Amino acid sequence: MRLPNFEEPGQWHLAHCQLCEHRCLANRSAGERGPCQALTEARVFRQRVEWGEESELIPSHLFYLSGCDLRCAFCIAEANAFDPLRGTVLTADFLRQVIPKGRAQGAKNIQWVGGEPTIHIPSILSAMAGIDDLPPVVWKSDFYGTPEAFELLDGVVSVFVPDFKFGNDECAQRIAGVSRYFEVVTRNLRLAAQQADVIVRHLLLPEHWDCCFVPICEWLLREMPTVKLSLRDGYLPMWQARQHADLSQLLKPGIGDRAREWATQLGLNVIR
Amino acid sequence: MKTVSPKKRTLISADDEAAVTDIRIAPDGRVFVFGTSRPVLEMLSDLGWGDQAVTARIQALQQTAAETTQQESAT
Ligand code: SF4
Repeated sequence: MRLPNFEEPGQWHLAHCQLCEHRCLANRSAGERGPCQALTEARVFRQRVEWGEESELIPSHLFYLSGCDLRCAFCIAEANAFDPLRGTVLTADFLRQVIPKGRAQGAKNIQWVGGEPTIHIPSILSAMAGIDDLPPVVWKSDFYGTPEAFELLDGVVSVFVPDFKFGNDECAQRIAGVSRYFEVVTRNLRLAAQQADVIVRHLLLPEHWDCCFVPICEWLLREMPTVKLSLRDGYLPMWQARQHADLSQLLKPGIGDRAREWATQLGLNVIR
Repeated sequence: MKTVSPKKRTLISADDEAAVTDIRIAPDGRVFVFGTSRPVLEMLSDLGWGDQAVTARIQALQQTAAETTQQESAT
């Protein structure tokens, strides 16, 4: 695997951070914190081999990093996702200890999840550079990173798993607190597809069929008609979801199957 | 109610409690499973709780088991 010359650009970002589209220019090396609150260290608040991912990825060794650039009201990781000081500091030594354990349980890849891994690209690349026989890398992300961030991942990631959450900017602003969401995520989807395999994930949200699910499917059909689409129906009103009337409820029973059927009939490549 | 006897391999030797699978049951009886480990997947299958998503993952599990056996017999 090619690990690019990430040291210089990585260090540059830690001094004038533009890893995500907040582009806040925080000097993280000097202790400044942007909206993601992250400094220079990445921390793993959970790591384990999981069987609930898409069939082609499992068993997958997931590394959950604390800290995120979005503030999704329904985040299932709750406080762990938003406090980048939670967890064990990510180092090459840490990976050297745990990757063999994952392998022994059959893991066929390592998967970076969050929080959001993009805000920790320099630390992740640095830790992985210290591993001789690195498994294939899966990158599950909110896709709110910058093109500069994706450049650092070129040649490193085998499979991108973008979490395409919202089908319009209004829902993204109200629920996750970010602007220009649709433009940014769709641009990054095109970039990622040039670099590696892509599995687009969409978590169905209650009452977001017309405003989010349908526009996402329609965009994919127009722009990336053969991309793999994984529709998740495990929504639970966690974290601050109860502050939003639409998000305070469970999905209606059967909506997942209905969505998969609808997307398949539309012509999309729906996978499990 | 069907019971499932713990198999030896289902005893989790977790490095830390964060490796525990979360199972939540909604008031209407729907079961939500997060961070599915292999033993939990097997348990769901044994209980007959498997929907299509679980079935697809059980197939992946069987394939992995077959590959492991092949590798072991080749070495
Ligand atoms: S990753 Fe964090 S510090 Fe960097 S631009 Fe985004 S919010 Fe700012």
